[in-house]
Amino acid sequence: MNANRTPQQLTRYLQTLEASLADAPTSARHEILADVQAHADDALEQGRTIDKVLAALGPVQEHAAQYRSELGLPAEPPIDSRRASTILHGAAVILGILTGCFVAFLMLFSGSPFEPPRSHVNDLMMKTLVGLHGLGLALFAFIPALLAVLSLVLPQKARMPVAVANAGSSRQSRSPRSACSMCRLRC
Amino acid sequence: MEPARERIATNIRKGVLEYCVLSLLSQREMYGLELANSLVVRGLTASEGSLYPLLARMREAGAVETRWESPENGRARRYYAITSNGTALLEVFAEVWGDIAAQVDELLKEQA
Repeated sequence: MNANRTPQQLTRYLQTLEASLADAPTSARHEILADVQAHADDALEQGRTIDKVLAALGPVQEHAAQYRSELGLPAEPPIDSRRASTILHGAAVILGILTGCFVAFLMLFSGSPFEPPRSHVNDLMMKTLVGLHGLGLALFAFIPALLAVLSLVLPQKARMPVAVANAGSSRQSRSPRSACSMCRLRC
Repeated sequence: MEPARERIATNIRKGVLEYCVLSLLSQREMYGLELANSLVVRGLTASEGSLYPLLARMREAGAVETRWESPENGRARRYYAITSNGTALLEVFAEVWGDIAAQVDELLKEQA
């Protein structure tokens, strides 16, 4: 295994831990994440599997609860913008996919306004937008869905530009407030 | 009796883990995994997950301090070291532990 590459499970573990400690002082949170990351990197280097490493650290929620108790934080983090933004992200993805399907469906069966109607029945398919421009055209309908998914799967650092593009591309379907809480992931 | 044994051990370890960490660090500086391994080998902690939250609190309380060491080849590591504050705490613990352990031993001897 390449020791320089962080396994996805570890990344997810760290992200969950970070989110569960969102209300901890920033410096403490950074040190916690650095500690756990360093522990895992060292353990992986010594030949342990990532499953064993994470099992020894314990379930992430339990681990986070221990941190909260040791740092004197309330047992439950206050409902924060992260959870809300995750729900909004999910809604945006679903909405994007549904809209994409609908628009693609219209492209399959509706004609181009720029083409004069032909009389021949066999030309019916040729007259539709997809018939004229190829199936690839329908993929454009899924761009908003793709943007919404990207902002969920990209690493934190790369999310900002996508979040901005996202806010622009789907302004009609979501309120400005939702775009704002999305940005707070980084702000 | 296994569950009872596990529960008793967990409770006692919880109370002394902090001072076991201080004791290990009073011998020399250690990085996270090194500390975790030493504790697990001695059976002083069952879960590595409880070590790091504890270290976070000890750092906040000023019983330990950390420093990064970046070797020329290899990854940078954070080393934990005991502070004078931590040393004083460890001395107090040693006294308390000595008293309690002696009393408990005596009690168990009487019972036997």
